[in-house]
Amino acid sequence: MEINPDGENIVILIEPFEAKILSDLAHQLLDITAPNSEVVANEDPLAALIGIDSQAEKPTDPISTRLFPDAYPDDPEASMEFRRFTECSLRETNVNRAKSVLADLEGQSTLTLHADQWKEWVGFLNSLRLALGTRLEVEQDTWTQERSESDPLYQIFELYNWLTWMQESLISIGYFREKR
Amino acid sequence: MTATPLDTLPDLDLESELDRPWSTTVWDDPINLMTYVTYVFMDYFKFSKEKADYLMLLVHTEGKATVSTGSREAMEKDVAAMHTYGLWATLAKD
Repeated sequence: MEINPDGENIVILIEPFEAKILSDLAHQLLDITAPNSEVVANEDPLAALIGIDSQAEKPTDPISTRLFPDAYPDDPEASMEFRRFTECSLRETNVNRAKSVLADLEGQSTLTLHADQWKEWVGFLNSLRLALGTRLEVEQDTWTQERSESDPLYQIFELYNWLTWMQESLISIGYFREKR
Repeated sequence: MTATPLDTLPDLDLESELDRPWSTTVWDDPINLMTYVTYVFMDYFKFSKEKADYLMLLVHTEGKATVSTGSREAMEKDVAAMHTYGLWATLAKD
């Protein structure tokens, strides 16, 4: 993969196997972030219309806890109320970003991203890194450490480092380039 | 009738008492990139690169930083936005 500036845009040259990996990851992120279809079906139609999740629950797995955190550190009740009003749209944002990246990846080997698409990619990569990093139990600065190939999480670690490089490149080329 | 000189009125500063009792805190986490956090502060809060870098480094070295203060409603909006960017943010009454 190569990431280069092209005027206001960013051009990504991507190999088919890289596009396949990214699209697989996008589908996994969709599985994690999509609103629970059962909950949506049982939703009060008016509440659903204005984006209130009347059945919102505090997540129990570490990845969802990181992607959908509590807003009030010492007030579970207020956190739950906040969740009811915001989690639905937070999930939707994640779903839309993943779908937007999937659409960009469709059958292309040269991707030209304008500013709006760039923002979707950076946010998408961030959610993916949060998910994989949580799975890897990344602690401060551990991402620079080597892991042995026999480590069962080696492949996830390699993916995480690749996504980190991609996000860092997109930010430095796409955002800080003209603001220096 | 005697007018009360303005400079002897108690300095209640009612506006700030009523409007700014809540704050948004962004917490350090080992996954988000330093450049990404600076970008988020510039993109959402429209902070200068210098201010965004300063707050990002504060998060990194102190473990947290207050990034905005205001009404509870405004802080809930900021926290929800930070969550959309994937930053770990909370709000509390000062």
